[in-house]
Amino acid sequence: MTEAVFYVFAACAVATASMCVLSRSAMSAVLWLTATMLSLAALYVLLGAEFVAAIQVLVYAGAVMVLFLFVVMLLNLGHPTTDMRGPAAMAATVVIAGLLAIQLFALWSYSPDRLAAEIAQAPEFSDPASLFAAGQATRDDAVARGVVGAVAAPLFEVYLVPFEITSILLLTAIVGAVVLAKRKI
Amino acid sequence: MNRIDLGSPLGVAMALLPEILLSTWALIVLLVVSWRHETAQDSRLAGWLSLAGLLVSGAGLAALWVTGATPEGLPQMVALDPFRYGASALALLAAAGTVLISLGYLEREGLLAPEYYPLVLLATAGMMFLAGAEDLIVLFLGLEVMSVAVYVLAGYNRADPFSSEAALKYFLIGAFASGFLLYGIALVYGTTGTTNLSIIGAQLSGRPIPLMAALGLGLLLIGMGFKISAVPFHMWAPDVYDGSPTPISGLMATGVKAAAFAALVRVLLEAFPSAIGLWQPIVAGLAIASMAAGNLVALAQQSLKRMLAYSSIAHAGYMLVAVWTGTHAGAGAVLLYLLAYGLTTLASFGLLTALGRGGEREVTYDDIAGLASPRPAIAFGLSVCMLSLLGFPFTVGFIGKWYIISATVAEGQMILPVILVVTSVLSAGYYLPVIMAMYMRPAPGPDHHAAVGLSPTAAAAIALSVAAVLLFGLWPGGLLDLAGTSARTLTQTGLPLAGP
Repeated sequence: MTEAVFYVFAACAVATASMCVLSRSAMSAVLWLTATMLSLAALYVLLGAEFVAAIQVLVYAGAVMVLFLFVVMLLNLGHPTTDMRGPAAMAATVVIAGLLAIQLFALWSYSPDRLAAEIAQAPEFSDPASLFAAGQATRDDAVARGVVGAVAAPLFEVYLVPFEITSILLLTAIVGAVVLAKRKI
Repeated sequence: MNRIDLGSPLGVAMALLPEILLSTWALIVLLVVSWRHETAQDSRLAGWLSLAGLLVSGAGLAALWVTGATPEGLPQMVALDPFRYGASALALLAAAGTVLISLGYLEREGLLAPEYYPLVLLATAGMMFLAGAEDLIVLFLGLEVMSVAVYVLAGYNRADPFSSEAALKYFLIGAFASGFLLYGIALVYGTTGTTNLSIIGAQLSGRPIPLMAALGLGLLLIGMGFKISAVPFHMWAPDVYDGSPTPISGLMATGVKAAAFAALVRVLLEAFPSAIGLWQPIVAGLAIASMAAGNLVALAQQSLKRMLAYSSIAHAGYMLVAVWTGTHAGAGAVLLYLLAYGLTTLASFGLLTALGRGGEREVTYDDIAGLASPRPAIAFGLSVCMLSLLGFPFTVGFIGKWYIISATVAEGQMILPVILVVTSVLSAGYYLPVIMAMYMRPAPGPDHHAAVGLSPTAAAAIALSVAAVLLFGLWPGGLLDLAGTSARTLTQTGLPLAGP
């Protein structure tokens, strides 16, 4: 079941990402990208990273996309006047595509066993406990209360003051944007 | 002695009383102006309401200061010490002066959008968070709240392309500076595992500073360098000061600078006292470059606003000399100089609004020729300001410079004070011509100064500032004591941690 869900969303992600690259209108490209972000959020849920999924929806599919849309609208990119053609663009395309192909071949030689063996040998940089002592507590916390609890409790206890100042910052930004954007105040 | 437990929500609310009052008041003013935003009368109403908000916040601050609030338990997000109260009081004073000067200025320039005043309040709240930050995250957020509001205020005069240019330049450079600051914070956090200033200090003490923390400190210094407009991070300042509405230039030169300097002193003295050998040469270099370049380039200016912008760079250099000491006397000297410079600069920019007439951007030395006989009060006020900026005896500017020099000499350093004095003498070359033009040169025409005038509120604010400049210059005793005691408490934040 999980596997079927994964394949559905993975296919969605690949398809929408392709549409994003292939569409000629900047506006529809941004909207396709939103769909890609949402598919990725679903994949995060399957990985058990609910918090990352929620943040993915809120920040990437929500805030960042709105920003993109605003920029696209402001720049008024209705009709592309210059296409990426000519020898220089072709050369760049070949180089980038070649690099990606090399990366793909390198990944080809990896089997899951070999990957597991290499991870076991490498120092765990992603593990907060390897960086400083307080990291161990963070990891225990994540196990005990789940990822959301481990993020939420410090956010609303220790980091309450910065959290509240952030709301003031956002308010200031909104007021400022409205003041500067309105034609007649 | 009022001990506040920063671990409890009530304690946090008590500790942040002035900031909470000010932010809430800004919301109220925003609500009021969303209904009343049409006429000049509405704009005035918003201005007076904002002034009341600054007073209320000041009362909250005074309650903390008078009861001697100190923190209990582990260091938390905000500091509770007289150094914070002093810096916050400076921010409130700068904002109050800005509001009073703006009341007449906005009407004359036809900038009748009353959102101006809530933005000034929010910028002030940001300054207070910045000045009171005991944690790098609060420091960054306070800096951003302050900066975002000031970016908008700089571009408030949208009919004027120079104002838009100022806003855009300030915004781009400010975002760039924030990037440096964040990288620095990330590296320091990566080394010490904390963003709290006192705990960083405890983690780093007693061992050579790790390379990553040193890099973080350097990036923090660059980020702060932009905000205090020290050479070589100063290039935005002249254009931004020049293009912004004049009261906002005043706010940038006083409030923004005061908050950024308070944060810089706190970061260096609380988090990096063990790395003093590393940052002292950097700060000394910045100070010398700022003093030399600021004063030399100011000599070549024709526009008074640009001259004041370069002079503010030079004054940042003087204050960096005090920061260099790394002692509590040095921190006290920074506070005192910020007050001296803030009072004088606010009055100077206020007087510039009078000289700017309607819609006029540039005020040159030629424009003020012969001002003394038709407008003796304005000429006298501007002369006192120029003398105080120069550091002439019997003005508060002299007391500030003297205190910086004594704090530096106490550390056995002679080169920096000598450069300070020499460059101050150099600065007479552009401060004194202002006075000479007003008193000794004839007016270009009979009615040349007819349009020069101040609104009653601006006149009151400037008169009070000028009076304070003279008063503190003649009787500096109380002020010196206050600055000294404020700074002495800086690192006594009840830190029980001895080491990592």
